[in-house]
Amino acid sequence: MRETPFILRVLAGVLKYVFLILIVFISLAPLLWVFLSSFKDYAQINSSALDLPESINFNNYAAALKYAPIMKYFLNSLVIVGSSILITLALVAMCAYVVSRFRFLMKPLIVTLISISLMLPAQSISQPLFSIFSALKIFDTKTGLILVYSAMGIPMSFFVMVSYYKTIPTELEESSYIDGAGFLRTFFQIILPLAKPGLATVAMLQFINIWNEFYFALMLTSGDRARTIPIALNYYMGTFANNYSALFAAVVMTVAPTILFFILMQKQVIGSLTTGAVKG
Amino acid sequence: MIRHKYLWITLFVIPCMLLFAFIYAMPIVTVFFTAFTSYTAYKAPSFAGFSNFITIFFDQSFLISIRNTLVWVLLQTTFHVFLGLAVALVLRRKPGGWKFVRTAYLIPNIVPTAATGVMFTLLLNPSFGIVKHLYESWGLDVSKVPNFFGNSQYAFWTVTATWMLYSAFNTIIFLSEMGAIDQSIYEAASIDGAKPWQVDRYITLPMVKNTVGTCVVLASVAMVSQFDIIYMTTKGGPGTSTLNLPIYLYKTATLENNYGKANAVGVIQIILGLALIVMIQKIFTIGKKNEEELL
Repeated sequence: MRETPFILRVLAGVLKYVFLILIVFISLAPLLWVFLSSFKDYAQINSSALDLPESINFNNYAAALKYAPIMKYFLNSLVIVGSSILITLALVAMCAYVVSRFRFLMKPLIVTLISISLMLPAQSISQPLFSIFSALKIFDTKTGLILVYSAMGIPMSFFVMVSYYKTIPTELEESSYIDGAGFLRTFFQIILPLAKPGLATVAMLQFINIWNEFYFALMLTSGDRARTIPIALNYYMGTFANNYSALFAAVVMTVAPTILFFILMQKQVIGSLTTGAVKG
Repeated sequence: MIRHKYLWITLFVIPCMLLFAFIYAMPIVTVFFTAFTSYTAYKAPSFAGFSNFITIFFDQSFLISIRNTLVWVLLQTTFHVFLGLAVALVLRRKPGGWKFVRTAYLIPNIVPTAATGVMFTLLLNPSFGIVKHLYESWGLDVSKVPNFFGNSQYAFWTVTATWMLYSAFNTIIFLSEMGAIDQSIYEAASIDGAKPWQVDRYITLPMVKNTVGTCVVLASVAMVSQFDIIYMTTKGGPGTSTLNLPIYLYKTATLENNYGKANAVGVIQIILGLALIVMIQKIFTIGKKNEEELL
């Protein structure tokens, strides 16, 4: 067996790092550029795209906050995403449990319907939803978006939870029933506490998907009342069309909390994403 | 024995299925019915046979939107997944700083795609973006700075670049699958004197074949409903250069207010999405593992 020549091994090592540096560069450079530019005034942005800001000033941030109620959009997003996570968790925890444990008449139908909707393109059902929501007077309300997002979370969460419940041994429930506990009590006191890691995965997946959801938020809202963060970005493009320096600040303010959250919760985020892809 | 077993099963299933029926089932049924009607924002649906489908298939921009969608599916299921796999193959050996690279690569995938759209619009803006700066520093004619999103010559590839390179979701899926491969196989290979590329070619890649299938399905699903970045940057333009099915559907529903036609496009979108998945599953023979396990 001939050894690979030294020079080739060095070359491979160098190439590997060049590749990785490129990957990091394309990932961080645009963000870093927007971040640095957010401290520049209008003239400096126009004259020198790659220079460091002359001084750190927060004028752009003040302007952005003045013209767009960014805090309100954040609050909207928090309320909508938070509520929909709770609703999805509650509904799926129950439904997936009986599907994972029992045989019943409608089970094949339920599983088939949910797995089809897993692959359903969002846009295809948006017009009927728009009409239904208008008729029910929940168009442009937080309630409307909460309902859509809770339902959107069902398919992926359902499959993650069914496979999670399958990892919990059934002996625990059997002994609980022998001890005379009823169905509800067994579910709430024995199963749910054991299912917590699965529920945490589902909550994280739901958060990642819905915090960034754009299409339904665009289609089903029209004003400030229920406008979420991703849609706010669309709105800034119009509002700040002639004040680009403030747009930089607005983008930083909307993106920074998401990135901070990700860096803090990285382990959970990566874990949830892989589970979601494999189980879903 | 469980008391009132079937009552509890029913009670546990119903809330979930009610919401599901309201948000998914009802709209889907409506889409399939009204696709065959003449139906606008101002006019109740009335039966119209296949006229909506005939209209869209004779519409040049609809055909372009199908073509663009398919080109993006093709690019995303090949290049994008391959790039994610390549990064995973490098990071798998845990070179120095691999965790930093993984985190950095994931960040653009975590920020709202709408934000990515705004950032690239700013970055490539012909009057203050980096391209103008590069033209200036290389002494080129600044009046000729290309407008990457605004010129139909470049728009398609510019838009493509905003998502094509960010394959970190695939990377972490591959990394987790590769981490699950039995280490003793690698040890045996290294005792036999296998070179690194041989190890990857004959051990790692065959072991993650099913995962490649999963990633290809996910990439295809994502491209059939790709909307956010296109809407934020070009809205399908200039002309029809970046038009795809979702944008075409959105414009038909909200600008033309032609609901029957929009839902006919929706039917095509659903069928196209399912057909692609079936095709990919045939290629990778991954079957419907989930459902079989459940039933």
